[in-house]
Amino acid sequence: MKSARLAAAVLLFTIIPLVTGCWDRTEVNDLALIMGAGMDTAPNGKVELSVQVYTPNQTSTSGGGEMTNSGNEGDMVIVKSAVGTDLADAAQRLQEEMPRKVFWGHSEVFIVGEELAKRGIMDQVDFLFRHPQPREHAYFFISKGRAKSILSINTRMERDSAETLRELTVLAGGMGVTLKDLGGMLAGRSKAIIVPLIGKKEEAGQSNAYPYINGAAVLMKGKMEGEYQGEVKRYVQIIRNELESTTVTFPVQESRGEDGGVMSVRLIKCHTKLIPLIRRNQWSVMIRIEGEASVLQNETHVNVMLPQEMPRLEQQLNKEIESKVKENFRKIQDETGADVFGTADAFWHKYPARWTKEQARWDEIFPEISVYAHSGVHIISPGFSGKTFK
Amino acid sequence: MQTNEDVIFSAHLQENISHLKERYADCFDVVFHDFSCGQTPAVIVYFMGLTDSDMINRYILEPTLKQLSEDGGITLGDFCKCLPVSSYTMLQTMDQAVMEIGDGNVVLLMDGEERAISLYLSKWEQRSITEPEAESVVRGPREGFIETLMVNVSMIRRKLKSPELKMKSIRIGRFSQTEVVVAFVSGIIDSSLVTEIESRLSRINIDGILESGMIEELIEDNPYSPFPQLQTTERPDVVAANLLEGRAAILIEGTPIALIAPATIFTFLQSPEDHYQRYYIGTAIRWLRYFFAFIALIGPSFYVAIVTYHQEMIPTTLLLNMTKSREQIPFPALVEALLMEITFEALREAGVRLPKQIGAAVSIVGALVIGQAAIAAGLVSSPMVMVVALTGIASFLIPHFAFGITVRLLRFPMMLLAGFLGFFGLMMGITLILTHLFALRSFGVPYVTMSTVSSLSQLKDILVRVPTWKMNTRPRIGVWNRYRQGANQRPGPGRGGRRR
Repeated sequence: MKSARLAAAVLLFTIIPLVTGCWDRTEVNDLALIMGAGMDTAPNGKVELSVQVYTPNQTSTSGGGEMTNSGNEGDMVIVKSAVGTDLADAAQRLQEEMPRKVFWGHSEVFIVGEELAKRGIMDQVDFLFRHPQPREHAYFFISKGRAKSILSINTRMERDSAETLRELTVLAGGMGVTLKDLGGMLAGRSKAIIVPLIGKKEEAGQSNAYPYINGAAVLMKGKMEGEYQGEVKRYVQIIRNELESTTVTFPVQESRGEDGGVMSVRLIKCHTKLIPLIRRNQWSVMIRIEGEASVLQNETHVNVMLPQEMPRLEQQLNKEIESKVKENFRKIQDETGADVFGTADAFWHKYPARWTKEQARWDEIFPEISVYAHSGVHIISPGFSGKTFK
Repeated sequence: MQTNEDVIFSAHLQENISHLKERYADCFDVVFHDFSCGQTPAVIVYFMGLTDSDMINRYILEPTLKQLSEDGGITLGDFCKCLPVSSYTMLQTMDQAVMEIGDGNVVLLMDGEERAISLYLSKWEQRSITEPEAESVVRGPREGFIETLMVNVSMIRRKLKSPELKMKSIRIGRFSQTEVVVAFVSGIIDSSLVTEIESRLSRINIDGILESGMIEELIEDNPYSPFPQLQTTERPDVVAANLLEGRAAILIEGTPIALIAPATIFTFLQSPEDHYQRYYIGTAIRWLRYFFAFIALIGPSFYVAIVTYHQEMIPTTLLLNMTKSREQIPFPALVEALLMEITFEALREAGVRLPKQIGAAVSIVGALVIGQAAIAAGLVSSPMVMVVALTGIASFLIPHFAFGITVRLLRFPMMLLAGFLGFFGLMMGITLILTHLFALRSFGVPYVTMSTVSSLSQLKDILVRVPTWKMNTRPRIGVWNRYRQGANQRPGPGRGGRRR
C-alpha cells in the first residue's frame, strides 16, 4: 500500500517534467547575443533600432576548443538595424531577419541618438523596461549624431564599442546611468534626467575611431534640452553626490599678495548634501560639500609640508569649489531649467506639505531658487613628494 | 537446521555418533576420530580445515594415551580437568554440538555420558591486519578490520579496555549461522537503542549473511531511500570513537566492514582525520567537503539549466566563450551532459573492477575520452568537460563511498529535471531531496540532526570541528550522558606543568 503510493508519486514526478519536454529550451548557440543597441529616428516618425550582434568566430573553435585571440577582434560583432513604428515593432522586424533568437539579456549599453532624444525618449524606453530580458544594469547613453554610427565603430582596445562604453562608465568619474537609474529619474519628482553624452573621435591619419563620453545631456520630461561638457558635467556629478573622487585645480594667492600659480588636489571621500530652505516665499538651497583632499600637483611656492600653510590653502580651495558649484548650478538653472540635481527630492523631504501643494509649479520655482554653497574640504596629505621645486 | 527437532545426547555413544553422522552425511571434511579414554570409548568430531590438528594431537590425544591408559572408567568431568586446553563448554544437545563443530571447535563425546564437551581449538587461515584501503588517512592508526570477527573484536577491546564496553553476540542466517556482535558502551548509549538494534537483528530470517551490506538492508529505517542509513567503516578507531559518542557498532563475522548506528548525513561527510589533524584544518577541510558534496550533486544540472534556460546569468565574456565552444556541438546541453556523465561513471566503474595493471590503461583511455579528444571530435564543448571533471573530483571528495555513490546517482535525475525545467526543475529536485532527508530517520534519530536540535553546541562537530578541549559534551542521541570530559581541558601557560 505504502509502496504503491510511493511508486505512484515517483511516477508522477517523473512524468511531470517529461510531458513538458524542453519546449522553451534555447541553446547558447541558438542565440543572437545583443551586445548593445541603438535607437534613432527614421522618416515618417518611425524609429530605427540598430543592434550590435555577437558572431562567434567559427574558425577559432576548430583547434580543440582553444581560443585564439587574433589581434583585431572587431569582426566579432556585426551591426544590424530595422525600422519600425516603435521599438517593439522594430525589434520584431529585426528578429525576422535573424537566423537566431534575439537575446537582450547581455546587452550592456543602450544608446539613443541625439535626434530621437530631442523628439523624446519616454515612449521608447518603455520597451526596455517592459521587456523581460534587458538588464536593469545596462547603461544608457545619448549619442551625438546617430546611435548607429557609434555602434558601428570598430574599436581596437576592447571587444566592441558597447564594451568600450561600459568600461568607460565604470571608470571613476565616468558617470554611468543605468536603466535602473533612468527609471528612477523618469519617475522622480523633478522630471529631469541627466545622462552621459557620447561622441565619436577619430585620430587623424589613422583609421582609428573610438567612442568616448564627452559630456552630459539634460532631458526635461523625456526630451533633450541641452548638453554640457567637461566642468559642468563634473560639478553636476559632485552636486548629485555621485562623484567620490575628482581633481580640482584652484589658483593660490601668495601671502605676499602676488599671484602664486595654481595647485591641483585630488578630492577623495567627497560627500554632498542639499539643504533646502523655504523662507517666506523664497526657495533656496544650500549645497554642503565635505571631503578630504591630497595634493596632486603644486605649481606654487607654498611648502605643502608645513601644517600652518594648510588653513590658507584649504580656504582658497573651498572658495574655488563653492564658486564653481554655484556657477554651474545657476548655468543649468538658467539654460534648461531642468532640476537634474535632485533638489525637488530634497524639498519634498523637508517640506512635504508645501511641496505637494506647489508640485505643479516646480518648473517655475526651480529657475528662481537661490543657491548657496559651503565647502569643507580638508587637505590631509601633501602627496608622495615633500619637496617644493620652486 | 532450526526446523529439526533438537535432540538431547543419549548415554550411548554409538547412538550419538550415528545421529551426528546422519547430520553430516556427504560431508567429506568432517572427521570422526575414535579413541579410547582408559577403558571408555570416546570420539572427537571436527572439521578438517577449521581445526588445528597439531593441537588435537598434542593436547587431546597425547595426554589421553599417556596418562589415562592405565586408569579404569573416567567421567567426562574428570577428563576435562586434566586436559591442557584453555577453554571448553559443556554441551547438552545435538544442535549445540553441530554449531560448535561448525565454528571449528572439537566436540568430544564419551560413552556413558549424556553430554559432550566442545574444546576451543579452532584455527584457520586468516588475512593479516592491513591498512584499511577504503578509508586511508595521513595521520591516524593504520590498522583495519579483517574477515575474522574475533580479531576485530579484539582490536576494539584493545582500544576500550573498560568492562563497560559490552559485546552481545547473535547468530543470523539459517545456513550461514553468521556470528554478529553488537558492541556498545553501557552508560553512554541509550539502552533503548541497543534493544532496538537487537530486536531488528533478531527478526532477520534469511539463508545467509555474507556481508554487512545485507544486514544493513535488513535493518535500516527507510528501505526505499537512496541514502545509506548506517555508517560503514573498516577502522577500529572509528568504531571506538563512535562507541564513545553513544552509538552502537555491529560487527559481522566474515567481513571487515562494521556497521555503526545511528548515522546522520554529516557522519558521511566526515573523515576520522578531521579529528586527528589540527582543528583549523579539520574545519576547513570539512567545509570544502560540504561545498563539493553540493557541487557533486548539482554541478552538471546547474550548468545544463544555465546554458539552456538562463543565459542571462552567465557573465557576458564567459557566455561569449561558451557560445564559441558550443557552436559546433550537435547535441543539446542536456544530452551532452548525460553523455559525458555516463561515460565518466562507466570509466569509474571499469577502473574499480579491473585489476590494477589494466586500471592504468583505463585511466589513459579515460583521459582521452573525456578530454581533449572529445572536444576535438566535436562531441562536447570544453566547458562541459570542465564541469564533468569538477563534478567527478567533487564526488570523490565525499569520504564515504556509499554516500558518494548516492550523490552521483541522484545527479542524473537532477540533470533531467534541470534539462527539462531549468532552475525550476533544479529547485524542485533539491526540495524533494531535502524533504526526504529531513524526513529520514536512522534508528529513530533524525538523519539531518540539525533539524531537531536547537542547541548550537550540537553543531560543534558538524559546522566546525571545535578543538578537542572544547568538545565537552557528547552528541545527543536519545537519552543523553552529557559530559565526555572534565571541564577546563584547554592547555596553556600555567595550566598543568611548570614550564612557561
